[in-house]
Amino acid sequence: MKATLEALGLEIEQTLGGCTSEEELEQVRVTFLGRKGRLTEVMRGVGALPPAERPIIGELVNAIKRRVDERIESLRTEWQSAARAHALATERIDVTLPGRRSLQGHQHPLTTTLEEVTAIFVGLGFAVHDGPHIEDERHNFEALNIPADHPARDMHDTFFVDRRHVLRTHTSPVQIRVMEQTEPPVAAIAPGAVYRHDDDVTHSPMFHQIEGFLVDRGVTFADLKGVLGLFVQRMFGPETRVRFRPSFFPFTEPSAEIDISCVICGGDRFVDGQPCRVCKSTGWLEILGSGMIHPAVFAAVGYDPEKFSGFAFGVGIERVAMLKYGINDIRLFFQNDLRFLRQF
Amino acid sequence: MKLTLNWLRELVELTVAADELAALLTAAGLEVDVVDERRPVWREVEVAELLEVAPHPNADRLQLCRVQRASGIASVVCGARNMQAGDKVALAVPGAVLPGGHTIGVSKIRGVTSEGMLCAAAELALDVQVVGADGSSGIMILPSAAPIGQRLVDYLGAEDTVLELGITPNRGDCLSVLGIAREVAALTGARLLPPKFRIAEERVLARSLAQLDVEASDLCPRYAARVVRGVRVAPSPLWMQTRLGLVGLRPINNIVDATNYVMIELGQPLHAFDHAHLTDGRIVVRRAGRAEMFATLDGVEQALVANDLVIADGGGAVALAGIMGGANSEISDTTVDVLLESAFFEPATVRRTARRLGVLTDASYRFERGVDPSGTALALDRATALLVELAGGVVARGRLERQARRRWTAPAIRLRPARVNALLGTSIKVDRMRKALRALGATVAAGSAGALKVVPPAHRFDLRQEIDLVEEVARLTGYDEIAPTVPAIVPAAGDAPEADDERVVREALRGEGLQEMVTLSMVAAAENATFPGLPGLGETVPITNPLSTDADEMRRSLLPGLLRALVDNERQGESLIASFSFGRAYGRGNGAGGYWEPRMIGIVMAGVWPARQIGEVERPCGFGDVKGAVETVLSALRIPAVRWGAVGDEVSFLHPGKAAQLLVEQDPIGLIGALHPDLIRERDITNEPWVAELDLQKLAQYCPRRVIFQPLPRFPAVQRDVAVVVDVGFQAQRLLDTIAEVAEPLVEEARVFDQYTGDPIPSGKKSLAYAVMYRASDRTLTDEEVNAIHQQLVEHLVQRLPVEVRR
Repeated sequence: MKATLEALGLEIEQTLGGCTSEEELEQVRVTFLGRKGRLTEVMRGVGALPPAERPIIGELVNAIKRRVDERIESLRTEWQSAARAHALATERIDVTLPGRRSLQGHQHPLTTTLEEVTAIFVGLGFAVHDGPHIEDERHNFEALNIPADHPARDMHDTFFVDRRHVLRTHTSPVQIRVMEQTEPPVAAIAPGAVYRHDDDVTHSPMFHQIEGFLVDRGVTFADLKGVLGLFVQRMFGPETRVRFRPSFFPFTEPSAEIDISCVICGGDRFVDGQPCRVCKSTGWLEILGSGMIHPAVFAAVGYDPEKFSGFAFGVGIERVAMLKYGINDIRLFFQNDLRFLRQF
Repeated sequence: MKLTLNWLRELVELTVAADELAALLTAAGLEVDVVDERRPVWREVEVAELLEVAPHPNADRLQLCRVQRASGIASVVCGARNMQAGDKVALAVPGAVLPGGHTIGVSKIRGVTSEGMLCAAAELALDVQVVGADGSSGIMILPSAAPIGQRLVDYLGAEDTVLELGITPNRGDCLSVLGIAREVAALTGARLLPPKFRIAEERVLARSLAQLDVEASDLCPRYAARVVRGVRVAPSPLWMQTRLGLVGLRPINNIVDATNYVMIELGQPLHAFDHAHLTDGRIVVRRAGRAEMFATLDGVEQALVANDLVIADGGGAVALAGIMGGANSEISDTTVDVLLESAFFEPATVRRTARRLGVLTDASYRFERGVDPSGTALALDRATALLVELAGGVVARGRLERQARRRWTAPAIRLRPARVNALLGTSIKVDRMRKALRALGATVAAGSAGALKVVPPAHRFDLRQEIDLVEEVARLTGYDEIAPTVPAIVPAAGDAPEADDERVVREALRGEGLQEMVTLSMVAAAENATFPGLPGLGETVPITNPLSTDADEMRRSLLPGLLRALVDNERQGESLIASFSFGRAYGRGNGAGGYWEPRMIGIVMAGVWPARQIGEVERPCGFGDVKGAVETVLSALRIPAVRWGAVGDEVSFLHPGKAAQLLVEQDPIGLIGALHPDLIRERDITNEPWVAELDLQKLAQYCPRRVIFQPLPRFPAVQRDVAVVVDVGFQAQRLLDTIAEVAEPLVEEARVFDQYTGDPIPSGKKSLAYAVMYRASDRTLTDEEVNAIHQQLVEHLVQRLPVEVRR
């Protein structure tokens, strides 16, 4: 019995040695160790042995079985790892082929610029307001201290829709609307489209502005400089220099035009020895109009100018976007050429 | 406003260089746009005198001249014939460079040495009229007083620096050399140099030669005139022509040039009438009266209205006050006696008439902004003196003058120094304020309670109230001296949610591959007729003064703009145009009264989606794309239930069989469909465009502002499918609506998941497949239970609908 078993063990070992695939291994396992396998059959005969031999033979059978199992498992592991190594050594893809993408639309550069400017002021505590594009003359002009027959109206080439209504020439009327409805303190911005009767490389009949204003007790021109200086540096980078220079807007006094150091030449006035074309070699770019809100505007909305003061400002979004992206023709924003839009 | 540095130097002791001056003025609010150094290349051309003009020994067409230079006598060959011995000429000496880069040398011309060249005005690129020049072949004959040896650039004043300033509308007082000189004086402390002149009057009284009557003294508070007799009208001297040219004015003749010169110098527009053409020698300043016709000196016949202010003579109008003179009294070569006018007209009057007639002149520009009412007589006298200097003649004694009874000195303004510092955020000392205001020419006295009493100078009529003086103090002490501070801003609650809606929708649509576009709000009327927008917009809003007929109405819909971009992009060879835009539609009188500007979303898609990867195929745009985009918008805004309904006949821009309107709670909120084939053909569009337009304003009202959590289901859902065969015209939604009507409580959701036509479905029919989800909230449903309910549901459907269940 023992000899038979040992011979069988040897035979199994030899058979396993000839195996070349996992399927063959499985075949061997079934042949010898399966329910009707030859080793199993031998084990069935154990019961017929004398009681003293049973444990010894049983132990022998189990040892053979264990050995075979281990051998099968080790071969399997070896082959699987070889197969994995083979796969790793041979499987190759072309990583330079394009990926599977869904088309993404682009945001219009004016939207991006509007959002950027808005975000800076919202971060400073300004609330966002909206107003009508078709505006009455009172809100667009008179309440802003621009009477009829005043030369200041030359600054606004105006589209009319009827005798008393215009396409708003600036976002400043929103200032009036918000102040009419709110008691100070108020800090607000009003982004949106505005209209001027003008059409060339630097003027579009429709363009965008952001109006902003702050009214409270004790707001000063120094505050105007602080807030707008902060805005300019956040928008154009901390290295940007800023210059405030006296100007005129009917609805502010004192008024200030705000220039930044040229985004192209950095204020050096020359690029590679040539006069800078963007700032016309002045080193400065006009970017914002601003000023302390005129007492006449406060009077128009019923604020007491002795109690409250404030500043207001207006940013031309197309101008900011043109500087930011180096765009030289304002009409590109409204032609919607996909070759243009896809660049942003 | 242009002026030259040399001119400015005549009126103020200028101590700074051009660049520094420009910076100084800009920092004071007088923006210097351009500093243009005019340095003609022909600086080596000098004044010389002809001693002898003789024929060239070897050439019939040439002359040989002996020329007196400061350094000796030169011999010059010349081709012109308009000169004679004794004439002063412009000699380009050897080494001189002419415009175009040609350098003059000593040369032999037909065997004779020529030491230079006698120049014609054109050869120096000078745009001046020269007395005695006979055509282009002639050389320039200079006035006999021209000093021999002086450089011609110096003699003419052609080497100068031109400053171009952008003067803001409030600073009419700075529209002159004097105005800028005053600012320079205030900013640098330099001394002003008033123009020096003297008038010799004859004994004849001006009022015996002309009669002045100011009927409209409300519109013309000040009028002054002088009469000069016996003038000789001719081109102005070269220096005058050159200087006017530098500041952008065209020389006309010595009389007109004198008035223009003084206008630039002192800021007071003047007008010269030919006295002989003033009927009855009368000047009447009056309103036009009704429907008067008047020919201005540019030859245009103008129709006047009652309130236009005119200068008339005994017959009729001879000038539009402050705007332009008339052809009937213009200075001409035959003018002998001149009446010179200097006046102060009400700014608004001049502006109204000039705007209405579209006649904008240097004079009206200044009168609109206000000229110095205290300078009327001074400017008149200065111009008179200059006129006599240039054109001769004698000045009749006295000025014809009228002035309205009104207070001419500005009232004192109370300025509280504490207020200045409170508004500016500064601590400027009172002394410094006082000094700054005095530098402007204001008188400053002590007022009550620490305030200052400030009387601004007459020319600063823009200074009327305290805030104006605050600005002056800030401007003169310098904005740079105000240290920036950042105030604490208490953030306000409740931003406008509009921007958020747009941002959410924009991100969602971009993710679907749609490109954002921005289109103009104005469209052609025809576009509004074709694309009337959504119902409820009211009437169309026309633009009274459009830039062109392509943009003469406010748009009713975003689609025309997007379709225009579609056509343009197709022409560029784009194969897919998938676009959207936010913007407003405009209407009026829709019940709410006034104007109505709802925010809209427009979507236009046409062309072919590219394959997403190699091996996949490209796919044409279809209804599914535009509906998918709309569904994306709805889901981004969390709009709950929407319905897709049939469109009415009024929607003529969509294909009638491929269009739907979108309803939220019966409220029409959008349109979707294929562009009508007629429009595709008309516009020469290649690919069928699928379009949609949604009223974002209305959608936002149905948009839940809060998301409320729903507890997760505890028991599983069970799905059962049903496939039905229906007529091809059957709309899939109908069966879903019926399921909803049956209202089986265990039905959680139903949706269509397949549509099929073809074998074995008979032609004219199609198969639709639906999935129905069943779920109970308190137990797991058994198969038997679900089968029974589903069976019952299917029976309901068969009873209520023309469907046949596919087994």
